[in-house]
Amino acid sequence: MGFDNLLLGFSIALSPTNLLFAFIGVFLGTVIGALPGIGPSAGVAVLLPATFGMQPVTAIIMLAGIYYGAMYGGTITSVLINTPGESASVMTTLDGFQLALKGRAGAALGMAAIGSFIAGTASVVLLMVAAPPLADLAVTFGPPEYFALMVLGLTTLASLTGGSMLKGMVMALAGLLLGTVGIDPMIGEPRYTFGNVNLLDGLDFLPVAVGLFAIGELLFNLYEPVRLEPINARLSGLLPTRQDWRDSAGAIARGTVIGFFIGMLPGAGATIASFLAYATEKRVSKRPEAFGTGVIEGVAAPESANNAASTGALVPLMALGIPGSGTTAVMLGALTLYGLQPGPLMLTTHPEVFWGLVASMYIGNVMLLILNLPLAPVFASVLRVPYPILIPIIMGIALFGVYSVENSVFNVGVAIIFGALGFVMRIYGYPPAPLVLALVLGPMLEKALRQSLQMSLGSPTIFVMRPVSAIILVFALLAVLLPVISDIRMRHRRRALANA
Amino acid sequence: MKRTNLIAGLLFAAAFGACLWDAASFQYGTEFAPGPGFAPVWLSAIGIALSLLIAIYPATDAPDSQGSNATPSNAIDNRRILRVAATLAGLLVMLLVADWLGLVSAVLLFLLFLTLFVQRLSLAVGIGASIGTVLFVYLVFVRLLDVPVPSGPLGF
Repeated sequence: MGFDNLLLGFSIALSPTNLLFAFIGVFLGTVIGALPGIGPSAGVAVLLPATFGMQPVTAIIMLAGIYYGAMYGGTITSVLINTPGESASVMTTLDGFQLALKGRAGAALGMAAIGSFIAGTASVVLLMVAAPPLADLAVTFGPPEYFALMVLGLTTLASLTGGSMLKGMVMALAGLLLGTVGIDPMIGEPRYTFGNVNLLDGLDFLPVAVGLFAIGELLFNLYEPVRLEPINARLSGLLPTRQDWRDSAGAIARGTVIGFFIGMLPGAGATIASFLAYATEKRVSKRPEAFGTGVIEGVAAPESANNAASTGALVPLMALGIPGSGTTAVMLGALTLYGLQPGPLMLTTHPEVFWGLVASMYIGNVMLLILNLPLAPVFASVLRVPYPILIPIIMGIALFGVYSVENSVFNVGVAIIFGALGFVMRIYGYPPAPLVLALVLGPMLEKALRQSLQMSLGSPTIFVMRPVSAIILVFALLAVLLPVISDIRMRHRRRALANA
Repeated sequence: MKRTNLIAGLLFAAAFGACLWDAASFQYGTEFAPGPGFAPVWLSAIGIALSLLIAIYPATDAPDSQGSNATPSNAIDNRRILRVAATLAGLLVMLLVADWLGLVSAVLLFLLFLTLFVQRLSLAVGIGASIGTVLFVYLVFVRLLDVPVPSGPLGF
């Protein structure tokens, strides 16, 4: 059955159109990842309107290509200019840049490409194995379990996005409230529409996502311009030496496993995966003191982990219909725009989308390897394009893209408002991802909550009386409490030190 | 950071408070199920509580040796913030004129304003980047994807 489905997937993914768009996706993803300030969330959101008119499977193949392509692209800036292209590449800067200073930039980029390829391919196998049984299990879930799962996704994302957990929580609440805008789906009463007919159908997620992720980031770059000064690194010797292989084989294997499983957890994502993979590698290494001075396994581990995590993140998206990160939230929005509802039933009602995506990811990872080994210097040349020139280009594409969702100037206005908000949030450390994820999940979460309470005639005990939802809610509670407890303990320790 | 958090926390609390005020007019529940007002009321109420926590939480911090009161707003450079404000003003004007001038022309004018006046790129680079971008998006969205955009007196 699985093999038949995979064959179906390959027959879809190997069609000339899908091959072309998988290539365009990974190519654009690599370029986007290489540009500091434009992360995969913004890239997917800005380029989503360009997929209108495509078959849904083609569109999702291209968007996924952008997502995992960006994971590799971020390595280029990390290695060459000590500036991560996106947050998941932060750990790569530690040893990648040091390797570049030693004249081994080519080896760092080559090992990152090979590690990403191995991790990407292995994690697609894991995706193929993990998603269908999870979807089978999820078919038995009712509204309380779905409600609990979405709460878990939001709480973990809010507490793990970095900075203050309180700020993440407030952003998630703001997103949930924004998700209630429009006509109530059950009773038909308008909420927060202020008499504006454009708001009756609710806020589209795309203008909000483009505003927060792209326009907000561009405004921040106008405020604090990105200075890119590539070092004069040698990009020869991209193929790893035998010693590099020996040093990195274990790191790639461990990075793949850590990355995939962390990626699967709602809210955790590629950044935490790469951090954990690096920390694990340092712990198991025979020369931990050398980490940070330019060791090849310091590049291989986080790069393998962030690529595996981007595939792992597709498991909850595809099997449960619940995104675990800002980027997968945008992808969920994309699927709904195409009339598809990701979740357990999608694997049976639209197997071509899931299996076509799985097969395209095998092919996409091969494309990335072929692209990245010989073309690393070409992608590095993106850094030579002055950043100020990229600002009007990205702004123009973002504005037209937002307009084209519903051919509405109102949506452009929404994107501008959220762009301004995104800029302020960026300055004051409020993470945008929980807001976007909550906006996408909001209507589903409210529906699940109301259906659950309807089932229990208004009694909230339904969430704790059903074992699966109770267990999931305990995890959600832990996701909130653990950082608070660790924060309190740290404050006590600091206070004790100050008093000593 | 304390002052900034205090102001931000109070602003968020006020925003959630306004949402709660508006939500009070929604039907809270029916006989056996929550109504349209249920989620907004609870979300706003929790939002107010968390926002107030943001406002007061740093007050419990032990002050560090220097700069605990240094806020991002203290560090904000007025000239640079003016660049952002000018861009937002330009975007707003673009929005207002898009319907009668046409979206393509309005975006072109905005990009020229952005590149030449805000970013102060050289004339050739600014004009080139603006026209090149608009030409690209026009070809992709209007010609290739058949997106109907509001057209102006020039026909696009």
